[in-house]
Amino acid sequence: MDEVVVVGYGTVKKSDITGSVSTVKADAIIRKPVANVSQALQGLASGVMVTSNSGSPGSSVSVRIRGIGTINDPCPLYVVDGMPVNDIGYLSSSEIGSVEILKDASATAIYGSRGANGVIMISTKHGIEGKDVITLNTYYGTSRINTDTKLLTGQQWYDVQTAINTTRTTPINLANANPSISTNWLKEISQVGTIQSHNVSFAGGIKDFTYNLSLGYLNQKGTIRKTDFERENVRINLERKMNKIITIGTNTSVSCSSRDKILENDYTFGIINNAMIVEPVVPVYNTNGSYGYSKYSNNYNPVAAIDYTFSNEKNLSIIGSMYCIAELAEGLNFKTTLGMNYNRYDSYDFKPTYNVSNAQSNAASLVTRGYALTNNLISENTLNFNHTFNTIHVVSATLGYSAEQTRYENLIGSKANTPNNNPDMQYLDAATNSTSATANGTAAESALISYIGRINYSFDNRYLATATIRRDGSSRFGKSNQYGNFPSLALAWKVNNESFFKNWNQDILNTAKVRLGWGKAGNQNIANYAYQSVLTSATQYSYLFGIPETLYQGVTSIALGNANVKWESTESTNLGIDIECFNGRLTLSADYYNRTTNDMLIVEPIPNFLGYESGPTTNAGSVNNKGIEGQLEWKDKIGKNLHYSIGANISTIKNEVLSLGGGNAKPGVAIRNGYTTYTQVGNPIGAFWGYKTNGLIQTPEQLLDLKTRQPNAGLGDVIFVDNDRNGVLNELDKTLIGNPIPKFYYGFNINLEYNNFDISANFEGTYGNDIFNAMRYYTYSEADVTQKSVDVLNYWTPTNTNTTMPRLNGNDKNDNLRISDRYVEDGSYLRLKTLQIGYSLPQAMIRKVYMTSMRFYVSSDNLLTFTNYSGLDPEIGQLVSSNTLSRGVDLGAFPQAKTVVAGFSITF
Amino acid sequence: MKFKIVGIMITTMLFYGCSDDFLDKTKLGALTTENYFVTEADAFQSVVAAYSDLKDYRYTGTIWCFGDVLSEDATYSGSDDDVQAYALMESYNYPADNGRILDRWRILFRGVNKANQAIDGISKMDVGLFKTQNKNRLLGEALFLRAYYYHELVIAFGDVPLMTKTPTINDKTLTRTPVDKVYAQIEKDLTDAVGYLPSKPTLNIVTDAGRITKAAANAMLSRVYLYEKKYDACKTASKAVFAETDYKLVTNYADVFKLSGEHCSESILEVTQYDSPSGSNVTYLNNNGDFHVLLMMPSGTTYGFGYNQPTLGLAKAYISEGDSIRKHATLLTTDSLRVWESAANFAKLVRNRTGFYNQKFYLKPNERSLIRSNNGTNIRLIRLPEVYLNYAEACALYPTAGDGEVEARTYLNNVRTRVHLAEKNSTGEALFNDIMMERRLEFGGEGRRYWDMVRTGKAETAFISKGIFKPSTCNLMPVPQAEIDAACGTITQNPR
Repeated sequence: MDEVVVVGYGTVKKSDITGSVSTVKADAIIRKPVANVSQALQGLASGVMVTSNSGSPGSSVSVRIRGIGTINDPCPLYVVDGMPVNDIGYLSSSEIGSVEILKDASATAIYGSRGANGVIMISTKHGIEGKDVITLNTYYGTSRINTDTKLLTGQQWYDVQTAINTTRTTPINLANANPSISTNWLKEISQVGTIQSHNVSFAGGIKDFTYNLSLGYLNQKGTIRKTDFERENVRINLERKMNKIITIGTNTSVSCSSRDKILENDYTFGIINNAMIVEPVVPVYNTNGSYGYSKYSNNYNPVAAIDYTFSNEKNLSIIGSMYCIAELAEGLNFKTTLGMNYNRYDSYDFKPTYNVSNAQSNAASLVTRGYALTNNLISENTLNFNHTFNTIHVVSATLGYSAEQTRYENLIGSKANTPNNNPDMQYLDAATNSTSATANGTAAESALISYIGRINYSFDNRYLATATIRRDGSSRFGKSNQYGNFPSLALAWKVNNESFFKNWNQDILNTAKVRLGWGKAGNQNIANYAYQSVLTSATQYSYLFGIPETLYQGVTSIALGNANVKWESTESTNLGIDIECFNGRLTLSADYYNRTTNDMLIVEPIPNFLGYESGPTTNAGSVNNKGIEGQLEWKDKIGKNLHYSIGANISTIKNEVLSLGGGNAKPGVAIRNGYTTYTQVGNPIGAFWGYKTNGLIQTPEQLLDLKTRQPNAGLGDVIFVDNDRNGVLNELDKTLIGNPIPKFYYGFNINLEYNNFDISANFEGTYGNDIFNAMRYYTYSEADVTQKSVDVLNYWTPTNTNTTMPRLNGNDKNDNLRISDRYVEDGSYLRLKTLQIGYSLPQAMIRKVYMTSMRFYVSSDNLLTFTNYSGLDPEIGQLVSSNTLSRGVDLGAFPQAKTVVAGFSITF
Repeated sequence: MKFKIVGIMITTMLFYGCSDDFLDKTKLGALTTENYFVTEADAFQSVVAAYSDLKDYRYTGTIWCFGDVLSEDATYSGSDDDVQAYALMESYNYPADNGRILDRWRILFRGVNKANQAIDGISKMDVGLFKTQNKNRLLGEALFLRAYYYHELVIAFGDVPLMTKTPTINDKTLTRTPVDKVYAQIEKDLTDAVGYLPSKPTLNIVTDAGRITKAAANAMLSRVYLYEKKYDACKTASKAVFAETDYKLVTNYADVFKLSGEHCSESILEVTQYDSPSGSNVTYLNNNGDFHVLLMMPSGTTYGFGYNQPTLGLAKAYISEGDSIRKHATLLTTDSLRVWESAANFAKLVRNRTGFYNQKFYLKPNERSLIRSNNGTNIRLIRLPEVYLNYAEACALYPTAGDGEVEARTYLNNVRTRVHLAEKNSTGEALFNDIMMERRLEFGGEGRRYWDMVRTGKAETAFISKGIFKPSTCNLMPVPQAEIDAACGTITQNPR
């Protein structure tokens, strides 16, 4: 337990930790054949819920620490080698030295206005003095997605439509459909993906000098065509002790990536969405070679849509810092760091000319090109003090000051009509229609000043106390609220160092520590300048004068600013226990947390007579998350050669919105017929909201009974529950129909080493979360022409009444498709996330070629998935990571792939 | 060495980020209230924005669906569902959650807010900043607009929260100001505006058509005083309009409402609209075209919705006065529709509930914009005949030396002779009734009838064909329920 753990602005011995901190080791991360380090954290630590938002290579990952802290941006802060960053997509797994997750506010308050949603501390690898090592790690593999869409064949679709036609006022002309064609559109757009990763690093050092140079390359070809990702990494970490006093160093990385992507999660034109709803009787290509298209709907031929997609984004991240540590005296040092975080994002989009059908056509090609630049500079200065008084009072203290500023600017332009669709013409200058040219750009600046203080005190190595305070000043807030204070206090009791403990059986219980912490941290992830009233010059506010009329632009304020806006603040308490038993073979820790976010930003409702279209953003909402977390690991060996370890972790979440400051319920993700989620007081964030159903109308008596509530219903239609029992069925009967947040999520892993073989398996899963399967708006529709789920085949007829699928009815007057629990499915799953089997060549064999180790392995990602969810994949994240209100809504999500890779690693 | 390095570090610390203004970051690339009202262009643009609510169809829609449809002269038409939804309104059981009521309330208050922003901002600007614009004129326009919006509010809702400053969040607990205080502010704003605004001869129609003038402010005062029954003041304001001899009646009544009749000599204020080059069928708010043409044109035959249809009662009123000129200029009959539209189009006519449409907003096939919500027909807000009849009414009800029934008849007959009707020679009650009938015929389909009947206390008898109009509860519309819910309990409901 005397490992050193990185915490904010310093390190601490693991046994001296007072807050709630999870550690993930580098080898657990590197085992996973995934591109994003966040993704690799999945299932490895309690309290950390990781959900991929898409299976598209290079896509974002949602990380939530201890529930969901706000209806606004609940993403944690990442701190890489001391540099705060918003995203870690630029990192390669092989660069990671260790990951610490600061979970409770007693640990995160030191990050003040950015600590509310947890902090993920990443340390990259450093060289070790006297040991020069060259490491080579390479793997290659393939990935596939589930294309078993559980949709109809051409003939089944034809039969269902034939039946619907008997109920349509204007039947569709089925002579246009060829039932012998059964296109599985998902299969048509998917492919066998590949992933390859190659890393080489040179690390080591001599006395007073260490180095680590690493190079990495990752290339992923997606499981759906035209989704690719490529990343190159270079890193230089150096540290030099110049003399007794001064140590200097740098951690610098350059990372470039390029991503080809397709349109996802768009309810109208999303490619996977269309692949699920275009009728199977449409051929991919007609006999003359042209694209097939739907004769009945405006949905796009997904194959053509992909062929005509040209969408690429590139990222360049240069993140580097230089630091200097001065040992001013015994136990007193001063550290100053200057860092830069430069990120350039480029987007390339081209819409070619094409004509697949009347609906799917584009007459004028369009080039769109954009860039965005974020430049962040930071200066951090800390004074650290360490001293032991009278051998039993150990005091360490940190005082710090940091200042940082960020500038963002973007430019996006477009122009129409290129001479042709060729790749060499997909540039703005090739476009000829100068009147179509557009150019837009914005810029923003922000700054943050922080004062940091921390004191750790240990009495007799039995009682520990940590107190921190951070004072942050942020430019995002008005003068009156520019500064905020974020304090924390944590206490710990090392029971094992008490004299009475010594009398206990030390072979069973080795160490025990009880932790209690409280703290307050903030979330400043709100829009810049929210305290100012911005003026609008939208066309709506223009007016005409003169003959002939000339349009004059008006400028006015339509939204009320709030000069007093400030950060959201999260207060949390934590009670934890760490135990080590059986001579260190069993380690166990458990935590109870209760965190409440206050001052959550919401748009305050205002009366219309004020004359504004929207109210001010006000700190008025409140959310609570509470739960327990447990993590245990058993490590032992059997005989001489079999080493094994078994670990498990579990985390529960109970999320509840306590207040929206009197504001209205906040809707999220609209589909055709309404919103899927409504966040309101008393329910979890982003809860699914709609009608409850109660089976189908089976008898004329039932029908008569429902006459006032569902006047247009017929036999075989869905019964909707009159939730408020007032005899009328309306919006007020909508109720909670599902929760996208799991009751608990968990992971467990097994590692075995036998002689030169090793095997490790990592499972992860969620339980009790629901998915809103929005695709059912089409696939469960008993009225329209789109592709259907096979469930529809069991539709109600007077002779087939034992079913939950309503009758087919071309004019669904009962609105069976209204937002109801018919869309909601159990989203629980268990996954064999990683399985890796390795073999290391015997030392005797490799020493001859100057190697110190050589290991071959096969590894897999998502090899097995157990779920009842009927969609392609149960891992449904968010539309974008920061949009919490879209969690668990499946709009035709890009499914996660099953990946198998083979590779080897060599060290010299 | 040691101290040198520490020294450098501390110096770096001090230089980086310690300056006082480190946290002051101004918004880039966007205007905020903090950096506005610096140039005269800012002043002009703020007034333009205050005008913009005049053309918001959510407000102007209520000119017809209240002003005409709630009177005996028109009925809500369109789809069965629409008619069903409006039936309670037409039977004078105004539901507090009616969308049109909410629209009128909120859009007019948005106009008030924008006018307040302009007035506050411009007042504080140094007059020396104004080189091409005229500070007083801009102030006058904004004052007029605030008064206009408030008047449109009080005639529908009575007491309303009165704001004469740009509101802040602290104003959300305001209560309703008694209507007489609101009227006092309206009078003051209009009177001030009269002093600030230019008269017609000083203006260049090419650039200024559609901008508020001194005559518009006087005409509006004349209207406001009539509602307040301040007849003497009404006469004075009306005579100030007559003094501007540039305003005169157009010989041919029907010409006033043609596209070519925009900004004609009798037009005192219009809402300007045009066929916007950037308009589209979905941008009703942005395209600066007249949505009402779309609303009112016949259903099926044209791209219109056929929302409000004049009644047979209005047709009979024209007939009984022998007024065929104004009848034809106001009422589009099914028969004339058959003449204008192609046979194939005409055959598609649906939901024709009365046999009449509003001729004043009908465009022939060749006059229509390709984009259906984008027709350029201006809305005539104030015409000279209204001031004539305001004056006549004031003279008839409050005769004084020189401003008595003779004057009343003169101005009434001015309006009548233009449409070739015999002069009236009535007195007393009959004269008043003649004036009111004249208003009905002159302003048919222009959204004035309902307000005239309510303000003169004649609604109960006039609207009997529609339903029971109880003045105690029907004179005012309910405050929108949404507003009562949103307003912290400070906004009370009208008598129901």
